[in-house]
Amino acid sequence: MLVCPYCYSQFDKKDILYRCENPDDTACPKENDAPLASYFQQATFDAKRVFPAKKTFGWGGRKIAQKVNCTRCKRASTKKICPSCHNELPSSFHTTSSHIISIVGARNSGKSTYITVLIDELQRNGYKLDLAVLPQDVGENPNEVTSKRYQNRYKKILMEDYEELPQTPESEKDLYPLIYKVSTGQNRFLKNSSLYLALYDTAGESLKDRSKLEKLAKYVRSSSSVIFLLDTFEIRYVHDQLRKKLPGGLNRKHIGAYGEVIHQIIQDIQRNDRLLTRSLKDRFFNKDKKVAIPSAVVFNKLDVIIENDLLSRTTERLLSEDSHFLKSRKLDPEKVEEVSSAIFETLCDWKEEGFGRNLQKQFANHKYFAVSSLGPRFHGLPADEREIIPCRVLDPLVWILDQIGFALPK
Amino acid sequence: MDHSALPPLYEVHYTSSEQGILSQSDGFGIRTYSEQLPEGVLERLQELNFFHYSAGNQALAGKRELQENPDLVLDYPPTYRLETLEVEEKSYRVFARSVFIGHDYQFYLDNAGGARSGNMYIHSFIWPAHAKANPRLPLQLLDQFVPQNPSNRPDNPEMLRLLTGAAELLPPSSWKANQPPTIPLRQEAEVNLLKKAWEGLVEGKCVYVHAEAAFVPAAFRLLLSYFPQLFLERFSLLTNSQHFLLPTDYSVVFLHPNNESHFKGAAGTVTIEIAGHTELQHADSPLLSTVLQAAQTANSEQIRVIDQNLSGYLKPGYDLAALDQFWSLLGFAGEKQILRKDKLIQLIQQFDWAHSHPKLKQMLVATVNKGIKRCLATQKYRELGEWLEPFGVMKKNNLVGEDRGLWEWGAELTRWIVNSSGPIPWKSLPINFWSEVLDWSYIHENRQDFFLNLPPNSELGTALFQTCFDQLQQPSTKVQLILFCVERSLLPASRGKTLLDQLPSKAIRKHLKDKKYHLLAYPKEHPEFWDEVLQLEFNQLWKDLKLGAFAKNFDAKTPLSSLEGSLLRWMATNAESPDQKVRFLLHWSTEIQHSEAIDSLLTSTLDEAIRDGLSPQKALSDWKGTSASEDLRTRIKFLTELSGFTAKKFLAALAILRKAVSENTLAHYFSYGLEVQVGLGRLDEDNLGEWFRIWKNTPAQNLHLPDHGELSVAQGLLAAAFTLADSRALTWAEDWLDTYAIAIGMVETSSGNRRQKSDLTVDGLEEDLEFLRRTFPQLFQALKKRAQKSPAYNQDFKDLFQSNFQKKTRGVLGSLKSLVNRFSAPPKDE
Repeated sequence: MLVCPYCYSQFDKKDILYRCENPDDTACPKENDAPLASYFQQATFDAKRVFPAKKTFGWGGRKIAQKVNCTRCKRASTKKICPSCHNELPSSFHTTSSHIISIVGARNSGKSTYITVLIDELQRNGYKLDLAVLPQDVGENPNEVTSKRYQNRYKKILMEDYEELPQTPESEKDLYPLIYKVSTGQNRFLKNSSLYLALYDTAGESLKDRSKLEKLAKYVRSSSSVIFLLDTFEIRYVHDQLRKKLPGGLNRKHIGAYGEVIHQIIQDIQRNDRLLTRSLKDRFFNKDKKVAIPSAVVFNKLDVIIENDLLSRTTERLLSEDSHFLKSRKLDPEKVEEVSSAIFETLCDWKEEGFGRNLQKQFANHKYFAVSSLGPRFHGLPADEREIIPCRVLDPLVWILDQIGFALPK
Repeated sequence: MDHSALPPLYEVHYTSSEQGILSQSDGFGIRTYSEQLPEGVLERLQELNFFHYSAGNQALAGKRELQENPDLVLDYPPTYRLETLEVEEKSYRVFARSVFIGHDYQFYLDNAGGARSGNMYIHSFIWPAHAKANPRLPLQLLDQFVPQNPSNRPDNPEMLRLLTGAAELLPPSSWKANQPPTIPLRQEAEVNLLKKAWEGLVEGKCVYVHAEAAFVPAAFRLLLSYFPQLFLERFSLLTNSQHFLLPTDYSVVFLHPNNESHFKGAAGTVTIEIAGHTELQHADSPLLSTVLQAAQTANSEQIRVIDQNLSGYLKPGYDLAALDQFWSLLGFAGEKQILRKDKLIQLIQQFDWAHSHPKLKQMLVATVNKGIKRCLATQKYRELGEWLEPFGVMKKNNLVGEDRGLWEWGAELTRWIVNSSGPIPWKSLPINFWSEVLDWSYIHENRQDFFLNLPPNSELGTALFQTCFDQLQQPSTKVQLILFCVERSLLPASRGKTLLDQLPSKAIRKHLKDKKYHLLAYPKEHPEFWDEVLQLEFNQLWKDLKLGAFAKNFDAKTPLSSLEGSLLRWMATNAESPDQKVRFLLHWSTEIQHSEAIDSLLTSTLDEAIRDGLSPQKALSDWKGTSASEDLRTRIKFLTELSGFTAKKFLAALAILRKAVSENTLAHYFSYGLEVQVGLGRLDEDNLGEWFRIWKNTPAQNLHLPDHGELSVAQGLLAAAFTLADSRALTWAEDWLDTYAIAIGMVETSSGNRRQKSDLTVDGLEEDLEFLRRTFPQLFQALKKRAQKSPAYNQDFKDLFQSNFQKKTRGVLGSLKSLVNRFSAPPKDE
């Protein structure tokens, strides 16, 4: 089954629809596309005609035609769209695995910043793991295709102007996912050599409103994996230590509530598990009712923690180093485990063992990560002196790629 | 001020603040709203993605830029939205302004750098869109939006007040309709805007305005000031549109200058581009719709006249009231009649008599009067009938009664018919002539004209009746005449009945369906008439007459008027026995479709009847509902209510009905009953077997399966059970069958093919197939046939098999096995 990166609906590849690509509007005029209008919350949406794929059988089974003729103008089209929301899909979407990775966090946890740096790191350092990352510029709104959206709304502001990203408004986030195709030269038995990643930047406020939380939970339960981005400064111990040390103190409202986001989402999914199809339920929960999808629990602002000596010496040494695979050019699961264990021990030191134990009860496959999206030379400095020095930003994604069956060098 | 006397005005404020009223937390959210804000409004606004500000391609100013220039936020044009909001069948007008306000609340609290940029403020005014609402209210509200000055200075007291502190509900408020200020037209551009906008709207197209941002608020004010009230009631407008899609659900859309994807006007000018490819979504404004449609058929000369008149009015110092009148009459007034007759009828059908301009109403009446009088003067019979048609439409839409004095031609028409020399040329009259004459007469309750001018049962009246009756050709028209005269005591009921009995019953019934309402109204003034009704109780004619009276005038939400309610109660209480009472009620429940009021009355009366000793089973067994028009859903609803909403009782009722109704009807009950029971979540194994038995005994052609779309688990189970039990429903469980068909195909046809066989090793598959073969041999054979048409075994099949068969199909089959075991020997009939 494929998962639409826009509306999260599941569909079989044989159900993919096509949209006419004839540029001549007189030969094949646009017509109202109700599903697309509904997706964009418009009364109407004029778009080219939609038609189904030809059903072909033969050697190799049911095939999806690469080109299908428009039912009106007979011109061949390769533009594939989701059968449910009618948004354009990448051209090889049906031949490649597609995975939605949720990035969820409370307000001010730094999700937008993390996504910005994550994609940049993936593009700059992915080759070290034999990864190629290509934005998929598909979609009805030419101004919001992945590369433009990433460039204009994220990268330019943060990495060119060295400005903090503005708050993510609640209303825009759902319409335009960032879609990337990740490929590798690795060829391993039973592993994928390419997949589509869909990333959504969510607004943290959504967790406070029941209806929005449900929407967010829908997105998470349709995902192959989830990254929970937690605000380290909301850990009571960290907060108490830093408010004395940092100039201007710390402005945090919800001390101790850093893990609430995880419980809210999972509880909502459990509460509404009737909404899950059998296959989704089987994928999301194991037989012990624990969350089965790979879940990365990520603590951010690692640089501030290290700078203020809040870690044990061993852990500090371990986490101060950048990701091991950037040097060794291969993923070492033991190293991932080592980092995760060190973070768990740190949580215990910070009197947060209960949080970790709760997660063990809820999650069957989770790991802890610590990242610094911007590094120590950003906040508090004038723009012309700012630098972005990310640390371990790729760790969660690389672990997830491995867990969802992507071929990585090991 | 006594707020209760004035229409309420609600507010909703949305922003990123220190505390939202719903979330009780910081960040984006609804900051506050008015007490007594109608339920559902907030949810609807959120559904519509209402809380939103877009700067399009223009980047929102960041913290650094805002610190350098605190007034930078003022450079971002506000977005105004004026539209109608439908919430739980009520309409509200919403007028909102969205603005970019830069920093969030933290900037005003500590200015210590913890603040974030990207904040917006959406302030909405909401009021009920009822008739008394002043459509120019937005003009009054334009200056009321907050923040009035969002300048990003830490000491900005307004922003501090709006964004920080605890969230509290706003007190209730109301609005007082002031006379809007007169806005003089100063620029040529303003006149151009009004003229072109009107031109576009009368052509039935969305109007997109591409103008400099600074001009937009002024243009908005102009449209609200100058456009007619009639039009403004449903007028919708959006400014600052930056979306890549052109919205089509607004009357006028102002595009942001940055919206590169669309129109470019020359700098410093107002350019209106009227997009030709999108139709105005004006279906919710019937009058406007008709005006526009009428105007679409107008020729260029008429457009020129409109333009000339418009120019005359668009002068500085104009009079608003006069202008409104002008707009209202634009399509109808003047020497030249713009509207064609068919358009006139269409207009009348959609006419909002209560809320329209009196002058317009007068114009409509005068137009119809003039047409009829002209025909009478020239004795143009066919045309007369055509002109009576709009009048009939007005009557049917209840537009006539209160203004009957306006109709000048009733006496003339009577004189024409009565004094006509020689035989009246009935044949040359259109078929609707009589209908309209009768309708016309109906309103003249003072009986000064025509039949009604004559004393009841007078010789002349009877003679005239006989003349008319003899000359009429169509039986249905004869029926009309009889009923008309009986209704008004111009003809004795017994004589009428005798005449009716001589006419074909088909014609009588056909006509009765149209005339029921009028006849039902009659006994209000003549209760003695009901004695006759009672006497004729079991005569199908009168039964139809009284019980179907409301059929065409009711829908689910129509409340019962006191008259109708009392009539129904009267009829029920005067029934001879509880059985008869219930039969009355059952008939109502089917004839009067989806009327909640009737249902409620029905239930309460039934309760009484049952308390009086009537058993539901008795009522049902006596009831033989075979009318083609019966509403099955209502019946089933009734049945389930009667049986206390339990499947067991329902099935018991069905068992009784098997003796009372046709198989076809029973199958309908069964199918809908199944749907209702599944919908109520009341299917369980206990009653599943009952369903199963009935299913097996139901002829195939009578099966009406519930929609497949929303199969619940129980429904899925039933689907499987029924499918297996009966191969007639092969198409119902397509996926399920596909899987098994392919599996059978594999096993049956590929024996000896080692590769395929080994691939298909699935625990228990052979056993499943054996179960199917043994228990449902007919189905098994059908599946085998299907397998021959199935695609060859391949990788896709493996995928399908793995995903579908293992999880879904096997589960269903497992449930089915337990069912079969439980009901292994279903009786043939109960």
